[in-house]
Amino acid sequence: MINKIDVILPRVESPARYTGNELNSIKKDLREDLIRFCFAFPDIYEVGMSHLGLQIIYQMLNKEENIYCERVFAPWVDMEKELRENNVPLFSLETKTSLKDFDFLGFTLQYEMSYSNILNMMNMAGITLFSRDRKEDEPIIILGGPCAYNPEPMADFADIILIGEGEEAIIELMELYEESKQEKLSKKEFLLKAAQIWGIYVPSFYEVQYKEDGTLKSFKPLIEGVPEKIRKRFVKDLDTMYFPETMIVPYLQVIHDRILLELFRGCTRGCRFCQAGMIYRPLREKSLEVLKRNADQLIENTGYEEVSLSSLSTTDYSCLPQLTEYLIDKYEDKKVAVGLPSLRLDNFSIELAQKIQKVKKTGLTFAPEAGTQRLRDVINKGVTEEELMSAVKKAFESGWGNLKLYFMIGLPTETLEDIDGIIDLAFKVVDEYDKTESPLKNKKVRLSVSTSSFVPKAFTPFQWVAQNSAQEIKDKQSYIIRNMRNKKIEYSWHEPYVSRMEGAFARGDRRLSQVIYKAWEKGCRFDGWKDHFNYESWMAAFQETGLDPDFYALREREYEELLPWDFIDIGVTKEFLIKEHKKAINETVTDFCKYKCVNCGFNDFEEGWRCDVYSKNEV
Amino acid sequence: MYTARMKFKKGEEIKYISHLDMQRMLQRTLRRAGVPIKYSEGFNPHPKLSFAMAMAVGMTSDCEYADIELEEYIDPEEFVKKANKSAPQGFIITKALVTEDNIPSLTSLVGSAEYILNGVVSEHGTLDLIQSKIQMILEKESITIRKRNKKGKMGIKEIRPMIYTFQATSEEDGMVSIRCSVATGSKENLRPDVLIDLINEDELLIDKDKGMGIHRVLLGNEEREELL
Repeated sequence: MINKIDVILPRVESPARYTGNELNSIKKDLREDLIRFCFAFPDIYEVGMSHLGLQIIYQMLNKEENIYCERVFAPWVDMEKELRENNVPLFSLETKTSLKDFDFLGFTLQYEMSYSNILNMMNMAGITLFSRDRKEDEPIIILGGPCAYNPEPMADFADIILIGEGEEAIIELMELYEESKQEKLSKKEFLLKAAQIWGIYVPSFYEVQYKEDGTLKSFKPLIEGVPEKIRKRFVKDLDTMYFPETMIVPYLQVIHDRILLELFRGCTRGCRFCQAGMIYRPLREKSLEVLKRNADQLIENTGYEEVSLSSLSTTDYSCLPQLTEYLIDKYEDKKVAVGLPSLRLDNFSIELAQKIQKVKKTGLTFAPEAGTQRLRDVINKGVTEEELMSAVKKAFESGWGNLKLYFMIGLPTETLEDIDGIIDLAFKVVDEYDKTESPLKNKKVRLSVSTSSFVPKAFTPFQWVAQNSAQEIKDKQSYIIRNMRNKKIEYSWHEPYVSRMEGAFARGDRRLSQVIYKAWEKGCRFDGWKDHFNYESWMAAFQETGLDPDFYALREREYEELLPWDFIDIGVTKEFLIKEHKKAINETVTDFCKYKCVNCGFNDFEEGWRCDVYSKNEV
Repeated sequence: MYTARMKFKKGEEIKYISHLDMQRMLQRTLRRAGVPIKYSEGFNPHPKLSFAMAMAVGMTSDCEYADIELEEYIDPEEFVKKANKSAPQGFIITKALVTEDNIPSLTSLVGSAEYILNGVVSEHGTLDLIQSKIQMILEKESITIRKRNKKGKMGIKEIRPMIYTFQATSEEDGMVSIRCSVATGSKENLRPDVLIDLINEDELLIDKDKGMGIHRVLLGNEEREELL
């Protein structure tokens, strides 16, 4: 007989999504006493394998002799159909084990629109969806990642939610599990102990009560011995933190098919729309020497042809010139290119970009985020039009022809004038190209302008504001389409109804677990994929649950309101966020905090912590 | 400028890797191995790599070939050793040649291929029935199939001369093993699963929907000899 999986695979698109065996993937003997952990990414392989967190956790857990970490990704719709029709439970890539047979199944929450995939993946392995109904012998479901900072919409499905950086907490959790196994503790006893670990939240130990108007009345522990507030976990020293010497090299061309070298965590720019800028504080840089070593090892062990220097605002890294110089000098002959994912305009150095592009010349991307200076001040994006235009001028003079500009629409206080600002800026960039006189000038110019729709996120100064309705967003998009016609400019935008759903879940409460469940029942999955997003089903799910997405997305909140995520302490205080929100309304900027502390609260979060200590490269 | 010509195996572990992905995998393997790869000039430097034949997704093989251009000479044995050390599971180079001479391209050399096909015997099928059907096929002087030509139009194609050998060798656990040798390459090319369709033309003897194992034993020239 031919193995069922081998019968199915030739019939599906890109079967290599499900087969594993990539270079640097890990094979272990399946000893009885191994802790079996499956890292689950709720999107397809090509998306999930581009995620640095997966690579770190995978290699880190597998370094432990008593743990075997495997991987699973959301099967694409063709594969789902085959698996279900042939009664094959969703399995891990490494050993083709059903997800149901793992001790832990850890999902990463990278974006709200992947939640339905999580339910679907659990269901495809026959795992009970709601944690309260799950049996003792089913896997423990862990959630983590950026969206875990407002985990409440997924609370009913999770046993454990890890808030913050996972490296240390997961190891502690595994050690605890090993002990609990020896002591033959029940799942509940284990969870109670787990709830003591810094950064771990066990939703079933907490109770939420609501007021008549639908807002939160209280959020309290149900039992004694669990913390009232969950402090986010963060790694204090990235130099001594585990960082893999090797990474899985996929066969398929994944989205980020290159080495991702993490230079630092945190970002101190303080853009007011940016959740990452708040939740990943404090700024912690890795030292130049450690990064050189990481890069050397990864290049040698992967054979990749590109190293991407990835962080929230890479050009802020204090030793960036030294690091790029090192990499270029050492690897130019070996044709290993260096890539920067995003460039800021204010400290942008065209020389640097030119230098790194000696090996490979790709496009340049700038993110002014808003069309007018007024609105850029509101969102605290400290970039001026002069800075943008001078960077653009240099880029055209040096031979670039392919430029991308990123903006957001629907930002707080936005008016038509700000939308016009986007259009004006795009035309100015094209004019700049026409004016450019340089022997290196590119024969062709292509300007891609893209707008995403602003979704207010938890733990930002805009966590209280009303999101634009889908209609408002549509009107703004069509205004841009009508008024930015130019064959040198290409415009792309985000689906407004997806943003509406995203907005509801980004600031949603625990009751939304029911909505996600109903939407999944109605067949929702891959909601982040344009062709699969089913707005009607989502709306029906809301209706049947008696909840209104606009209550979450479009409602302006009072500062006094108890927010669903207020039980999490990210280190940045609510007072600071309120202060920043007020400054936004007054169009006042806040300085870059790397050099002068803006008192976000982090220095009081962890005893003995001082932010400035950790810009070690500059000492 | 040197050319390294290698013979390699594609095992079970990587049988679902597409042709394009194989190319990228081989480039990265050789880069890790520290082989002196020659890169093309220009903004997007890439190694010059060519395979004898694209392999169907799902197929395993004992005998595939690829050429890569090198900057300097490397001892073939060292090439094999280094590359295999850096290769992922399922990819094994078995032989190599490194030469400064201008050698004929691999694609121009390919003329034949030999396969072992493993299929599930259908409810009505038996080894005897399959064997006698194959015998009947081999006795025919002409076999035509409908096939899309290079311009995309459907046409009738004579394939009998493209079948060199064809036999069902054994049956075990409901699986039949078929060994065949067929014309392959840029002039004439016959896909092995066409032979299964021929076996099934009157009555379903081998159930393709239950999965097929396709293993290439030899990729050879017109004389059915190895290319290296």
